[in-house]
Order: sequence, then C-alpha cells, then structure tokens
Amino acid sequence: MTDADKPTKYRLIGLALPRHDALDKVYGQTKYADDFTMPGTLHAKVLRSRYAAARIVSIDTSAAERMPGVHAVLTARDVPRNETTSKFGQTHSAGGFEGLYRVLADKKVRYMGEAVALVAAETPETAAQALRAIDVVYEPQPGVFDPVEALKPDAYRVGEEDTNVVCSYKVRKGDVDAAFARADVVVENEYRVPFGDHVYLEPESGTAWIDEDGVLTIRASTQVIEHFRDVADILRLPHNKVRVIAPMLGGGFGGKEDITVEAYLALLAYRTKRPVKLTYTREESILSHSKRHPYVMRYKTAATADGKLVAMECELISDAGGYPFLSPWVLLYSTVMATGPYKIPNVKVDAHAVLTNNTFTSAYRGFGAPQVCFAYESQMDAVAAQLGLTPLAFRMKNYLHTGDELGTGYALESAVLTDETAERALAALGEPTKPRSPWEKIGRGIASGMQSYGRLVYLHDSSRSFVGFELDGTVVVRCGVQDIGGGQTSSIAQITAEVLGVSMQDVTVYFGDTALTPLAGTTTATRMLYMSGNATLKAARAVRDALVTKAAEMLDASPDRIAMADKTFRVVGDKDHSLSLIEVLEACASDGIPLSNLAQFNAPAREVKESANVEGQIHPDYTFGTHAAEVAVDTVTGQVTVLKLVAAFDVGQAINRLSAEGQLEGGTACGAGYALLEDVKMDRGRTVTCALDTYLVPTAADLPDVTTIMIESGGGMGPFGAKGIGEPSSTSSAPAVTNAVADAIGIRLTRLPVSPERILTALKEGQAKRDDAVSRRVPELA
Amino acid sequence: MSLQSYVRPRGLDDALAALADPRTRPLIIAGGTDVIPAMRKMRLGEPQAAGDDDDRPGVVVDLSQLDELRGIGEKDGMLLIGAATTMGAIARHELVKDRAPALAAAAASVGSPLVRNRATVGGNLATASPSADTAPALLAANAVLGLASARQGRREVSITDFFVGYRRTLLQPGEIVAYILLPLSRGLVRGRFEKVGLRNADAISMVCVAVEMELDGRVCREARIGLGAVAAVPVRAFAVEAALKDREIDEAVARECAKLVHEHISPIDDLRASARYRSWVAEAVVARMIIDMACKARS
Amino acid sequence: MGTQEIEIQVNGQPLRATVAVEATLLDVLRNELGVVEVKNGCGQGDCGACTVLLDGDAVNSCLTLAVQADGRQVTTVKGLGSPEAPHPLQESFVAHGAVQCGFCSSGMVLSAASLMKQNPTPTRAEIREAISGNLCRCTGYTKIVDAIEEVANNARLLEERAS
Repeated sequence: MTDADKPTKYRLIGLALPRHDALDKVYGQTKYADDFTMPGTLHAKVLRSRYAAARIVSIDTSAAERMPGVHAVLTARDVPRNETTSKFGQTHSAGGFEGLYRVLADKKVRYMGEAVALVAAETPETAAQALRAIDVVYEPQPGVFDPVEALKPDAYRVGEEDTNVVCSYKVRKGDVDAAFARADVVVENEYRVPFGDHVYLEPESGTAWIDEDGVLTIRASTQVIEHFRDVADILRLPHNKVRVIAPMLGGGFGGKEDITVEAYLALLAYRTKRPVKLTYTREESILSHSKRHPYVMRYKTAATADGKLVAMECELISDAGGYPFLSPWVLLYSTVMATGPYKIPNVKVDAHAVLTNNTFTSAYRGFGAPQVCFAYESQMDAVAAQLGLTPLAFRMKNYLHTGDELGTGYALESAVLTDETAERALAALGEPTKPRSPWEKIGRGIASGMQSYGRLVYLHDSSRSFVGFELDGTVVVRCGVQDIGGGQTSSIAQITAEVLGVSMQDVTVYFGDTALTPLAGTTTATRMLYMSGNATLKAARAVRDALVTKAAEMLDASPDRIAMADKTFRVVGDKDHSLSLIEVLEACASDGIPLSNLAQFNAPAREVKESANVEGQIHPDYTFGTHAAEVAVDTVTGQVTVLKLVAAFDVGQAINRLSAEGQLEGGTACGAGYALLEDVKMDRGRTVTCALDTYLVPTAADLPDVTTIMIESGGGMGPFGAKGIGEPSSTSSAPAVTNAVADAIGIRLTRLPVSPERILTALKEGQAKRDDAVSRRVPELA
Repeated sequence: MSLQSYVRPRGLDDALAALADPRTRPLIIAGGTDVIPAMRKMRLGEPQAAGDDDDRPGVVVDLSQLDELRGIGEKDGMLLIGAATTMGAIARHELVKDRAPALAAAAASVGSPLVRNRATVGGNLATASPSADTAPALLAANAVLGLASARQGRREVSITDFFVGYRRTLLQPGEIVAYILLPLSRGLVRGRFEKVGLRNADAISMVCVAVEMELDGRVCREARIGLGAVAAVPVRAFAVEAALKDREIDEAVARECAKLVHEHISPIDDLRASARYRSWVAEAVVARMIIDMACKARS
Repeated sequence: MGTQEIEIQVNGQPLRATVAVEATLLDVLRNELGVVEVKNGCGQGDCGACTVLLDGDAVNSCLTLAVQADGRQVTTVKGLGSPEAPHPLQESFVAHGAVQCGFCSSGMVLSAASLMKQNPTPTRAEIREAISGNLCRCTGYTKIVDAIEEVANNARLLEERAS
C-alpha cells in the first residue's frame, strides 16, 4: 500500500483536489498585475545607474520635464523620506533585522541598475524618451566586486559606513580543534556558489492610483502586501492612507519579497494624481531585482573511523551586493543550518555578509540554506569516500533525530524522519541505468537537507484569517495572503471546507488586500500554510463550534454528539434527527450568534539577541528530506543529462496532495537548475546575463520526471500536523545532482554551476594528473 | 524607430522589386526570430549607438509568406528547399529526415519548437551567425544556394563561398537567398549532426558539427565536415576531410584526423564557453562522430 | 514612425487596429486589443508565455510583427476552450495539478495543442520536446507532461477503438 492509499481521518485534507484557481488560469481568465488597465493611466519608467560604483555629481531633469506628455520626473530630492528602515512586512521591531531601503540613489550609486530617477508620461515611448533626456553626471569610483576583497581593511567602501561588513554571526559548540586532532578522517574544501535569478515568469508589475476616498492604492505583483507601511513612510503618509493589493502572482520565489515597483508607483501617482503603471522588461527585472547570494564557504569536516561525525568547521562569506536588504536574515539561516541535518558534537561556524558593488542579494527560495547544503552534502560524500562507506551508510550513522541538538543548542522538537527519506529516495532510483555509449558515465547521488518553515522567532510572526458563513451556506474567507502560485489560497479553501463540512467550491477566498483582508504576513519563508493555515483553522473551528453548539441545542443533544458534514448536522447514532446547515445558520442569525470568526495565530517568539553568538531556537521548526539523482555525463563534451530525480520528504501532512507534489517537483527542478545551469554572471558589477537567452533555466527537455515520496509523520506545526515544503523541496536537490556527477566522473567539483566546461576541464586536469602521476612513478618502479 | 511601412509582396518579382531601391532602406523579414529581437534591443538599449535614424530601415519587406520561397521537393535528384521554409517544416519533413538527416537534425536543434515554427532556413543563413545551426549541415552537404535580386537576376553559389566574414555574406544589396539545393544522400553516404549547447532546447551552440561521409565498409571514400560556433563564420574542415579520404577508419585514425580540425577553427571566449573548451570539444566531437559513423557502417 | 491598419481574426473575432510597423503581435494583442491572456515574460522568444496559434501553428507572438498577422487567424487559450466548452487539455491540466502560478499555462496549453494536432499520440519525450520553448518555473514540468500524456492516451484509445 502506498501512502496515497492509506485511509485518511479527514474528509478533504490530503486529497488531490483540483485547485480552484487553476480553472481560471487555464482558461486565461486570471488577471495578473499587468493585465489591469485603468482609464487615464500614465506609464512609468525608471532611470537606472550605468555604473556600479559612482558618485552622483548632478542630475538635470529640466529637459525631460519640458517634454510634452511628461507628467513627472522625480529624483531623490522629491522623495519625502528617501531612506526608510524596512521591517520586510513584519510589525515587531527586530533590531539588526531591519534594513535600509533607499528609494532613489542619492549622492552615491552602489550597484549597476540602482534607480536614480522616475518618469511618468502619457505613453511608454514618451517616458523612455524622457529618461534619455535626464542628464546625470557621475564620477565613477573604483568599487569592489569580490566579497573577500571587500573584507580587507583598505577596501573601497560600498556604503556610508566605514566597513563593508553587513553582519557577522558565529556558532560555538564543543571544541572543534581538539576533535580535528583526534579524528581519523578530516576533509577540508572550499565551495563557491553563484548569483541566481528567480526567473518568475511574470516580471515585476503594478499600477497605483488614488482612490475615491483619497487612499493611495497600489495593485502590484508582490509577496509582501505589508510593504504598504514602508510605502506610507516613504511618502510620509499615515499607514491607513496606503493600500496594497496583490492579485494572483506569476511566481515569486523570494524575488518579490523586497519592494520592487511599489514605491516608484506610489510616488508618481501621488505626484500626478493619475493612475500610473510600471512593468519591467525581463532585462530590467534581471538587472534590478535581488539575486540569490553567492557564497564562499570553507568547510572542514571530521569523522571517526567507525563513521561518526565529530566536528564541522564552517566559514561562510556571503556577497550582499550594494545594499543589505535581507542579507542579515539569509546569513542567519545559513549559520543555523550550516551543518545540516547531522548530529555533530563540535561545531564552529563563522559567517559574514559583505557589501560589494554587485547587484544586491536577498531572498531566494531556500533563503541561505541551499548554499550551505551544497557545501555540507559535498563534504558528507567526500568524508564517506575517505571512510570507505557508502554515502547512505555514512549519513545514516549521523542524522539528527527528535530531541537532538543543533549547533546552536536548540533541541529539535518535531518529527525528524531524515533516515526514512534517505533510504526511500535512494531506493526509488531503482536499477542503475546503463551507459548509452562508451563516452558516457553514469553516476548517482543523494543529498539530505533541513530547512526551516516559518519566519525567525525574533520576528514574533503572526497571521490572521476571517472565516464566515453566508446565509445560503456558502463560505467567505478573508485572509491577506499573497498567492504566488503554490496554491496558497486553495489550501486555505480546502482547510476551511474540511472543518465546515462544505465543499471547496462553496468557499470563496478573498486574499491579498491590506484594506479588506485581515493581515496575514508575507508569502515567504515557507510560512503561509503554517501561519495562515493555522489562523484559518482556528477561525473555522470557532465558527464550527458556535454552529454545533446551536445545532446541539436545537436537536436537544450534547454538542460532542453532533456531526457536521455535507451541510447537515446529525446526532451521532440517531438517523431520525438532523438539521440542514441553512436552518442552523438562520437560527444563529436570529439569536445574534456570529456566523464568522476572525482568528489570529502566533508563532513561537523570542527577543533578538544582540550578541553575534547564535544560540538556542531561531526558527519555529524544520522540514527534513532527501533528494536522489542519477545522471549521465558525456565525457567528450562535459554535458550532463539528469536521468532520474527523486524527492522524499516528511511533509507532516499533505493538505492538497497535488499542490504538495507540485511543490516537491518544482523545487527539485529548480535545484537541478542551480546545480547545472543557472549563473548570473557579473563583470565588475555589470550583469552580462540580463536576458533569458543568457541566463538559462531548465526547459522541459532538460529534466526527467521527478518522483516524489511524501511521508506524513503528522509531526509538523502547521494545520493538521503539516510541515512547510515550499523551500525545503529545493534545498537538497542541487547537491544530489552534483554528488551524482562526482560519482560519475570520480572528481568532485566545488563550484556551481557544474557546467559542461567545468566538468570537461576537471576531466582533462584529472587525466593530466593521472598521466603525471604515472610518469613520476615509472622511475621508482624501475 | 523609423520603420515606415510594411510590404507583403505577392510574388518573388514583387519582393525583389521592393528590395531594389536602396533609398527606401528596405529591411528583409522572414521568420523574424532574429530581426525582431534585434529591433527590440535597439529600442531598449542605446538608440544613439545604433546610428542616425537615416541609416535605419524604412520599409519592411516580408518574405515569410511567399509561396515561391516555401516548400520542400525533389528536383533532378537534388533536394530543393525554399529559403522561407521554416525550420519546423524542414525538421519534420520525411524526405529531409530520410535523405538529408544532418540538415533535419540541425533544423530540429534551432531554438525551440515555437521559434522553429517561425524561423526560416534562409534567415538562418542570411544573418550569418557563426553559430547558425543549419550552416554546418549545409556545408557538409555541399549545398548550393540560389540567390536572387532585381538587379543581378538569379545566380547559384556554393555554400562554401557564401560566408565571407563575421556576420557577412556575399549577398549584394537587394539580394536574397531564394532556395537551397542539396544532394540527396543515397547509398553509402551518411550524414550526422551534433550540437553542443548549454541545454537541450532554445540554446545557442557552443559547438555544432555536421559530418557527411561516404563509407565503403570502414573505408572513408569521401568526407565533408562543417562546424559552427568555432570561428567568425561556419567553416568546412577540409584538412580533416582530406586526411580521412580513402582511409580505413578506426578509433586511432579518427582521432588523428580530427586533430587537423584546428587548422580551420579559431574559437573565441564568450558567455557560453571559452575558446579552449570549444577547441577541445570541436576536435573530440568530430572524432566521435567519425568513429560512430564508421562503427555503424560496419554493423 | 509608420503605422498600418490591420485586421486579425482573434479566436474567430475580426479585430481591427492601427499599429506601428515594428509593433509585435504580442504588444498589439495585449495593449491595443485587450487580449491579455497572452502573457509577456521576456519579449524575445525565450520563455513562451506569449505563445499563440498563428493559423494553427504555435508561435511566440513576441517574435511576430503584428503586421505579419494581418488577415490571419490567431488563437489564444481562450479560443481553445472555455469553462463551458473546455478543451481536453485544459481539463487535464487542472485535474493533474499542472497549473501553479499559471503564468506559463496559456502558452503551455497552446504548445500542447499544437503538438496534438501534428502528433496526436506523442511519447513523454516528444511531449517534453514540444513544450521546450515554454518555460515553467513552478512545476518542474512533471505534471504538465502527465496532463498532456493523459490526453494523448485518450487519443490513442480512441484510435485503437476506431481501428
């Protein structure tokens, strides 16, 4: 019996129900941000710096302003508050986790593509002409483009502070040096990972207008409608005079977590009093939005001869680019998860995020976990090889279990079934594929990962959801989630329908509107199901309890004997007495019993520790899983064909089986792209892969089917015991693929992407080394 | 931008007439898969760098729907392909797949299925990209290109002479590629095409190679080898061909002959690959293709 | 800047517009004709979000000038089917969970429809090849291939039954 065939204790939870939003999407009816038009809309464009590092000597906008059809030309001096500290959608003060957000470059340009001026005009063409008429005099600066260089005391200063270091963290547990001295095997390597672009299919877009009540309204493609506070602060408006609406998004993956178009639109609409639209081209998107952090990672890992990990030392340097944005958060994630899902008595982590004049880096699916996962899972294979153990056998001796401590000293509380995921993932690869030619080598790899779900406990995260019946028995949910495509609203509908005994079609979810839907926080951090799912569950249960109480009274039975399903209330074991849902709703309405409930769910919370020493609980919980991959390497060209991909995860409880599988499949695919292909190349701060013919992501012809294995421990903190899987599904995919490549060619590449050229170079150098070794050995033999 | 008008000629003569007057600054469009993104880049990028308005095209002449330039057929034992035939049509055509397999494979490797439904073989040649995938296949097939213009009339040239420099061809102003003629492979002649790209679809070649060999058992009677993305223009590897001629092919011979490919290539570093990688792969892929084809011939 | 008046049959409806010569079919569909189910993801033929059927062939509408579509048939995902009269591919995409953010879906379904017309019973590899010009960042493609394969299998059954 497969997991899917198991009898379920739920009516709808865990079923593979078609998502309600999929219907609109597949018939072309869903309106995304750029699909809305308003009468009298002006078109905005952004003037962006051509330099990565420069001083702005002067900006002359007069010629642009004089152009017919141009309604506004704005520079930093036109922004009421050009610099704000963004809390990234949170409400709780979180000290060092608030970031400077500078709307328009002022005096200094810190990365190429930084916004310098804004234009709103009657047509996009006029706006483009106006941009060209703006005269900016730059004084180019040397800049610094390598985070290791930027750490040096005499390095060019990217920002205004006298250091380029954004933040530093450390973890100390036990005594790594003593452990290294005693260990039987010590493996040391340096790993590097590149910039990554999210390539959500929908480029950034939005429209802003001032509504009939004078509220500045922005409809934009964003994962964080709660940037409305940042926008209000930028315009020095009261928070209740700015409204942000997020329609369905064409993907996010973290790239729409920071402000993109919202502030520009707000400024221009406020100035012109006209609707203003701004949609990025793909080139502008790649040039201007956040990137995944490149890391330099030095890892030293030690084990005993019997295969027990004894020490791990990690030094992490992340390239924050021109502004910090979420770099401190991302680095903290990396720091906590640097040693992976392994029990290690001695841990030392030192991590630094460093400003450079590269494009700024921020959130990207995995949020600092994929980088370190590539490093620690490469190390695990390297150590296993030295010990003569299989990758699985070595890992099985060292996986963390419930109750074990991370390097920070936090003892895991929820289910940890990494062993099972690893065994099942590897088994699912089946019989090894035979090489198709003498030039082909086949390899297999596994990689396990851990990834938090829910935001940092420092942030005191919360979510709210309103659930209410209409008198006809249909249900309305109002919940300020942003639906980025993962089935966020659909899952909320499914949870609601489960609890209230109605069908999914009976539930309408209003989402993503700061004015009309209770604020639910960000659709980031694999938190939406966990947080808003719990808030919705709480609200739905409250509504159900009220109705059941009323029905019990009407049926003259005790409430615990009332069953509520299929729009009917029945007394258990009594076939003769029942009430329709509508009867009970009407009775409640007459008696003044609310048919709705607004509930709030609060995640575990802690105050920020000022110390750089990272200790104790940092995240609410973690998801564990394993990827397995089989690849074929063409030794003539270095090209890799991914033959098999497996994702095995403890998802806690699948809410919608299709959505959960979809997350696992999609995350795994993105990881394979990270492993083999994706690489934002920058040349002294200039992005040279600014379009989708140079920044390549996998096509359908580049990937095999992804096999998914879902284990349902029920041990998660989400609704019905669910764990989050949006990000975890991607984290360990890349190292599974690279471990398979290493297995195929017998050489471990320590730099992503593992491109044909890097593979072929390694093969040639490996051959050269072997030839060299042979020639040196000859005299000795003689 | 200064595109003034759009012309969809009714026949080839109309088209040539429309292209004849340089004062109208004609711009030829067929599939548009190269020219439209180029126009967009110009619009998005630095318009001042693209020259004065006066230098830029005025009349768009659309060849994509000219029946005289479309279609695939057999003529005097040769395969005749209209220049405005799409890559998709070529890749799917049974006669091409059967009798010009290298060309079919090359056409099937261009861009994506969506691109192939627009992109034309004539356009692939006329834009003269060093990495044009059909060029090596046509070089290996020793194809003849039929050119046409109002001023010079019709002429036929060998594809070997067609590419004269980086993104330059011997097409004169107002002249177009009208058709392509290539010998139908028969008997012992075999053709193969291999593309080395960064991914399996919508990728620009890092190296592409086409080989046609006439094999008598394991003896190579004649070979023609075309390569793309390894020089300023698509090239023939004449030295390799000469070395293979009348040799009995085994792995050592193939490897030895393939080394001569370096006489013809001068690859560069770009975003996709380094010159060094291209050199390695050009030689190794040529060797492998020869070995594979000889092995297959034997069996 | 030159303009030209054109008429395009969009999903069977004749639509007229005066367009700039260099305007792409994508720009005109979205900005002039309100046909916003055609998406703009890259503008240069690398993502497939703007896929339409032009006289039945799946093409990138960003790689086609609007003037080139004058007098021709353009089919978008709305022309393929509607909730009232769904195309089997649309139903299959929903049933298989092949739709996540949905931004690729309209193009993806059209590429699949174009494939089914040329080859009603494709293999999984042929399906992958046929949709390789349509990027999807959410699904990893597996469920999309499943959805198309089911329609192909049904076609195969019909074929077998007929023969």
